[in-house]
Amino acid sequence: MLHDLATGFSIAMIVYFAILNLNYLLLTVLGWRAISDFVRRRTFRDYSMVQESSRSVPVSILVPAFNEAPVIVESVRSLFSLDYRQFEVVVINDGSSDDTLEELRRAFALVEVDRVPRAQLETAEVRGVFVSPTEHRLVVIDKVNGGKADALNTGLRYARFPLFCAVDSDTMLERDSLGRLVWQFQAEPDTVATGGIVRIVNGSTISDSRVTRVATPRSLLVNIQIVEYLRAFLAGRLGWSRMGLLLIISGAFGLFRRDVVIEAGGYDTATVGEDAELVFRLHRYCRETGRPYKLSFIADPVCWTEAPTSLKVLARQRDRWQRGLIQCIVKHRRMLGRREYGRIGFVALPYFVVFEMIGPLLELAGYVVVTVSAAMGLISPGIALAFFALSVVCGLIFSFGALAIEERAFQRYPRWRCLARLAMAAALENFVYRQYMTLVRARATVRLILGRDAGWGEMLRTGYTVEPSAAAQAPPRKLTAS
Amino acid sequence: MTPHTLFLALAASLGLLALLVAVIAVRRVRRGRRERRSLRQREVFAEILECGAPSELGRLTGRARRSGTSRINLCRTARATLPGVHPARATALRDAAAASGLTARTRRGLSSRDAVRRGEAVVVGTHVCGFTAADLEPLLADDDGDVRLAAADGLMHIGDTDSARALVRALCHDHVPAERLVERLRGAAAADVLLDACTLPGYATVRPDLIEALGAVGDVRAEELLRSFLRDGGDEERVRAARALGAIGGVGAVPQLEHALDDDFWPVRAQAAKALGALGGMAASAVGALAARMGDQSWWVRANCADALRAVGGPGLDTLRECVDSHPDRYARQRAAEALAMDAAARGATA
Repeated sequence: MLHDLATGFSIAMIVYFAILNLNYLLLTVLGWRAISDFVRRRTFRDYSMVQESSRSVPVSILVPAFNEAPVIVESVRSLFSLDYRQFEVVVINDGSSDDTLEELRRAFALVEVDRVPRAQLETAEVRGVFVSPTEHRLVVIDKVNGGKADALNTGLRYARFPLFCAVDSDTMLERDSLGRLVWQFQAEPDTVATGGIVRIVNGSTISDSRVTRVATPRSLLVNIQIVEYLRAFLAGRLGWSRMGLLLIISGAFGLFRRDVVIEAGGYDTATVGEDAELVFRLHRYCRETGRPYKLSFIADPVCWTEAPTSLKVLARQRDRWQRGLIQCIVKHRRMLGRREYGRIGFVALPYFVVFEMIGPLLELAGYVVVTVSAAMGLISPGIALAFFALSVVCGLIFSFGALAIEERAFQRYPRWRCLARLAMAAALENFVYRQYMTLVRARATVRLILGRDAGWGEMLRTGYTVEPSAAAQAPPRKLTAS
Repeated sequence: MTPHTLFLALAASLGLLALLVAVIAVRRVRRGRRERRSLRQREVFAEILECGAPSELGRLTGRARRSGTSRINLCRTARATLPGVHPARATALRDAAAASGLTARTRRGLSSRDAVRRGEAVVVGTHVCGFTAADLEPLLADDDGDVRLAAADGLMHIGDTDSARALVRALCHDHVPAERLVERLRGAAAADVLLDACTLPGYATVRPDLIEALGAVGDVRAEELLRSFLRDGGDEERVRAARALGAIGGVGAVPQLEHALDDDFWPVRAQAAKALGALGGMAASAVGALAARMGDQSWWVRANCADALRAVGGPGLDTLRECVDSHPDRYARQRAAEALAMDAAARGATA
């Protein structure tokens, strides 16, 4: 009986493993093809026209800020150095208890003005709207605390332009990134949202709010995250986007059509994964209203972000992501297997249910059952070890596949040492780290099922080192997050 | 799964992994060499384009016909070099391209099933082979968005009357967004075509875009026509005419814009106020009209009037102060106070 159960479970795990890896393989191949197409198209894409033209669609950049006093001014200043003709920066101070508003007031000589909201969305009370006489592209909204989604909805109410980009206040956009995202809206007018790649800044050198030298840090944990990000964006999202099944656009860096988002109801304040939820809802809204639409991922607009440097903070972040994803799936379960939602309902959502929602629990059970079965002699230890080795090699293939895509198109890590560190991280992540993350995600799933809310979690900001002479002549400085 | 299958799968996976590692390593090793070679090739190409003999141009275009990298390098070099050299060199390059078969190859590329080849053909054809508007116009309706934009870019680069006509004709279709076409209508040839098209009944539906394009071209000959549109045009035409007049500038536009502050359609009033603000000190004579509109029903008209009064300077600021003290409308007083606060803060920051 026990032997039959162990065999049955092993077969189920093998099927699960085979489907998962075949899908990863498909995504990597599609990612490679998408990137090859992108590289060939570089010859006749002229982004400078989009960046310089006064007729390029203007963009509102929404920056929700909660207790971001150490980094807020630097972040906002870096946004003003973007190479794009017409944009505004809307900072939403979400009831910060520190000096976020004061820092902004001091740096930009803010003046309180009367502004009429341009959209009807339910949000927490707005205490005041401020503009800057020295920087006409800046609008600061001070509101009662209501969470990130509420802050973004407030920003949407006051934003003036047809496109909006939601960025985190600790992220740094590359100067040409906005133009590259807008290009997609110009080439494909049905586009309602598009996302760019989020890269990890730890270890790189920053000068004048720009990443001037890309490098990897010494920390193994951060290098593993760099590999994860490359895999998730260059293989995962690029592949999903190629199939027209993109379900996630990163909250740290995405460009959306404001009117469609407002029609769809804005950000959902009840989930912790408001960015993913919005993309789910846009799919649903556009399909239900019969609106032609396109959601895409583009690999070359870059946004740099700080990665967690401690396992504890990382675990909290992943816990939040997992809970956010499950909330989205549960909220939009109506789309599952319904013909009116097309491939989203038949392919993307079922995949997310099986491999992202239940997957961590299955994987965890797999580790336990296979180990116990091998210990009890129900399956051969040699087979168990070979199976584990196969899963490690498959993991390596996908990580190296993402690195190959990176090499094909961008070569952002020019030094051999960086590449060696990433290769090392790709190999080592399969031991302990991967199992720990499975545990974290499984725990998040169980906690959500049991109705225990773990909240948002806290991301410790180390900020940027501000040298006494942070002017152009100053030597490049290093971000001290690694 | 038998042990044999499992080990076979493991061996296959290891093979695939080794292949990927090799791809990464080879790409990395070859990258530097390829970049250096491309750079050297572009320097040689630039030299030949500037002062090479016809035979050298022939060899150059022949190489571009055979190699994709050389084609891209030639294209980039031609784009950067040709505007600065004698026009005869462009003609010589075109002749060499035709003689070497590059033009024929590129022309075939325009009808290729591969979108990337079509896009590449547009760029090479425009910058090297001397393609005309007739060659590129069909691609404005291409299936691929990137190719459509490349064709619009090519027409802008050609910049003659035919290409301007092609861009204006494209306004009547939905293949390329109107603003992408408007921003590519540049120069005297475009102004001539736009001035003609504005009066033709066939373009009535796209007239607002034509008016906007006239403002963008900035040809003073358009001022009279724009004034007539601001006076007698439809709602959207009046809005665009006000914006275009603001862009072209000139004291002559002030009376008409002042008159537009009394328009029935609020976006026209708001745009007229903004246009007067864009004229700055030149709009000093419109201070009275702007002050009268500080109590407008529309928030945008009030806001733009206050900003315009601030932009006018001296008399405008005096008017704002009067508004703060004595305007009967609470909203007008509020806007005037905000504009003055912004002005004071700006001065403080400058000081």
